[in-house]
Amino acid sequence: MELLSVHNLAYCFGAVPALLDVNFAIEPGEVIGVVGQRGAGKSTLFHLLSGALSPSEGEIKVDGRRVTPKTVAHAQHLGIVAVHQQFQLVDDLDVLHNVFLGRELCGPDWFPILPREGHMMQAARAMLTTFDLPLDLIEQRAAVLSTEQRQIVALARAFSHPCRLLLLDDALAVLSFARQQILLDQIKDLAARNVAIIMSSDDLKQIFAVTDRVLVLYQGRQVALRRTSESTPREIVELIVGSNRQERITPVIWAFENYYAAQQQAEELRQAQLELQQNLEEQDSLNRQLIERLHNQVEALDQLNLALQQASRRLITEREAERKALARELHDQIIQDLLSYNYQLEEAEGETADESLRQKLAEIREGIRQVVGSLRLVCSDLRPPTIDHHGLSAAIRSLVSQWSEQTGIAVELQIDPALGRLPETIELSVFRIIQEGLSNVRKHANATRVNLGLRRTSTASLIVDLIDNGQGMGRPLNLADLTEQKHFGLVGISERVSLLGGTLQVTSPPGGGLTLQIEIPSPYPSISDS
Amino acid sequence: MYLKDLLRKNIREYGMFIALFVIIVIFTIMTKGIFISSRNISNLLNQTGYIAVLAVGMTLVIVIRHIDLSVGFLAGFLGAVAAIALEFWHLPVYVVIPMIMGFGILAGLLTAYPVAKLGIPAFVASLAGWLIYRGALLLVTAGTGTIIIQDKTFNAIGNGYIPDIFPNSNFLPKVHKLTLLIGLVGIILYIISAINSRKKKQAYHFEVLPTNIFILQLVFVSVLIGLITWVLSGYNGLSWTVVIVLIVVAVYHFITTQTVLGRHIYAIGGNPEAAELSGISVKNLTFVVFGSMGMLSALSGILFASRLQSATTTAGQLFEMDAIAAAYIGGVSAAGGVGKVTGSLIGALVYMSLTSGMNLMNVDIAYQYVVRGAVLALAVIFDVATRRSAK
Repeated sequence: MELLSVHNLAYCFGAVPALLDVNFAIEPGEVIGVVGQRGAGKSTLFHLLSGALSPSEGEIKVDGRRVTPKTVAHAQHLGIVAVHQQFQLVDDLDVLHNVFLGRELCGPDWFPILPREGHMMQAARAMLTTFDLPLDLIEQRAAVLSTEQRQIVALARAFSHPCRLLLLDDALAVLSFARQQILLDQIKDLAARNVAIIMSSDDLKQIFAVTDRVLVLYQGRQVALRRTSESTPREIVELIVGSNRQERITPVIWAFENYYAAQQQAEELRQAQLELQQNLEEQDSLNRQLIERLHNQVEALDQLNLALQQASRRLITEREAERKALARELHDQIIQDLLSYNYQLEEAEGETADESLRQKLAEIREGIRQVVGSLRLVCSDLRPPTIDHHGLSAAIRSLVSQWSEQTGIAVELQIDPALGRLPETIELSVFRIIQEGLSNVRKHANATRVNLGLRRTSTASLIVDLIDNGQGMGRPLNLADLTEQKHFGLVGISERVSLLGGTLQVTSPPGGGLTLQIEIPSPYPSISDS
Repeated sequence: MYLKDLLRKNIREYGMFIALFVIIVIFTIMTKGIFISSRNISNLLNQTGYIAVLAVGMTLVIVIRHIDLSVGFLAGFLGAVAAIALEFWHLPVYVVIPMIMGFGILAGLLTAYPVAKLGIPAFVASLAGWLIYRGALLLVTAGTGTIIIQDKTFNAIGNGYIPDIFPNSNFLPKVHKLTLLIGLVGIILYIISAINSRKKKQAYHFEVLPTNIFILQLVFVSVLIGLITWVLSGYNGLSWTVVIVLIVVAVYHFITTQTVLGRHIYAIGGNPEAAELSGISVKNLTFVVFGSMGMLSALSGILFASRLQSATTTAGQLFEMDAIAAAYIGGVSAAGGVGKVTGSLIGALVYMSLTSGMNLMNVDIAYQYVVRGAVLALAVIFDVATRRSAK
């Protein structure tokens, strides 16, 4: 016994026919697919069957009786329920009330005008669970839903009541691949429970997966009604396109096949993307941990460095103090002792008459004088005597003239008259730096002239320039290499400079010569030097 | 949910309460307390009656995206018919009132026919009604001019007050005790029903107000009801007009918020095509809504005629505009689908408070129209602005 039959159904928009001469019948539990190009009249057919439109001609029979549905409510009363493509939801109502819109579950039984919210809530929850939607959507307004969620709410409305004929107008298109499979399973399930289904889809794979027969519309006319099992996608495509010319069919078939493949790929891609995102997140947190650890280590290193600098500053200060003590010891004790021995020897020399003994004593005294002379040199090397009493500039003048005498290298000295006195550590360090620099010149430069300049800058820093005209450096400077080769001169200078917080600049122009420029920041930055 | 969020979420709903409160305070200060006096409030409520009844019906019409301009002169015309039936046909009042209400329903269905069946815009269809009923009113009063109504029962509807219990007892003299009792019963019923519906919602895991705010709301509404009944009981108590308006509002509030019919009406306003496709008969509901509008027009006409104790040739003039303004001020959205019956009642109160207050202050009628227009414009701008920010 057929559930619904359609005879010569036609519908015209004004004078324009949208659908002509449609004839078919459907039995309970049967699934019919409706296919056709855009504008072929699929949606019009669904509107006619669901009662949203009244046919211009022809008739619809339900259970063999002529009952062309005049309104949607009438069709629903006959057991015909539709999911349309457009105008599905009322935006101001929440999901729950959209699901049951038009067919609320009502009570009490004797006068059903009051909605039974609790019953509807439970049913809606079950429905959303089936389609794998979050349950808290139930109280959301329909306006905030995504296209896919809206489609699911529209489907839920159709599934909310038992029906005899379900009309699905392209209901699968906006669903994700996984939910399409759920819906196809639901369709099979309903068909097994004797519900007739008419569905349209642009996806022939879906049509061939669930339908028993296929109705093909072409420009508003029914061109074929085939058993799905006796047909092929190629034949259906030929009918949809309305031609069997190879060059028109092939792209469409190609498109259909690729559509399915593309959808599957899109789903896989989505999964992969999800996984990638998770991986990225993990990676990100790992990176952050690493960065944190690195940061900690750098901080620790910084502290160690600081401690090291302090230690070496202390070391230098102590060394200087020791040198000072040693020099004082030598000067005040040993040299004085030696001199007093010298006097004693002189006395002994005056008392004796032995000429040869006097000769010998005179030689010894000459020796002692020489020892005293070299001890004095050692002393002044250990601790420049002038620096404590007369300041840096005097000490440097004396150092330079001494050095010039010893080496025979001319030194042009330019000392800023406004140099003034500086803290002891700085003065000593600068003195040592110049000492070391000059000794470098003597050892390595093979120079004939040296320029030495000390001046204060406007920011009260001290600048030392040491320029020679020697052979310069063959290759770029590398302190680490120098250390390995046990050339501690420049290394020592740079260490002292860095302990004072200053900068060292070494330039060696290609024409020969070497320039050291050392800048030491002012120890009294807030006081202007005028 | 915090109070601030709640306020922002429901600012449209609370907005009118705030507006009403502000207006009452301003007029009370400007009139040195006369405005808030029992006598004036009682008068104000009686004046609001026939507009409030129209505004309730208009709410539903606007919610389904239509308008009805014919209601003013329909009310005037039906009031005149009632007067004729009482005075010339000598029909008893208990026959006249249902008959007039029936005429009202018929008139509403008549307006609905071109709208629902032929797709003619309601503005045009009801404008035709406006002209026709105006003509009809002039026609039926042409021979007699103003018709004086003698029937005491009929006139009591617009001027009478409910009787008191123990009018001569020494307990609370000069106070209308039945009014107080009704207020008390109203408060108790309100609290019980609010708690019940909250329990029901919780049982189904719906979102409910947090407990402290719920209690705040209970206290606020209870105090409001208590104050109003206290003020009214100081004069003559509840008038029959107020009782009728309260019944109408209660019935329509129940229908719109609790029944399937109400939900379908709002669905049609929200998206007529979707409502149609989901099986709701938009045509039938259009008839229902316009029919109820016609019935309420008849009721409004009865209230007005009874209040004036006569039917005049200009009865009902501009009622439709007042009702539409009240509905818009009360938060009914011009875009359809949104609006509450209780809101329109508050809107009508706001609108009539303005009139009453300005009359007390002897403001020139020309300025009164300007102020009322400005308030209407503000209300609609407020509605559109809050609606936009809610999306």
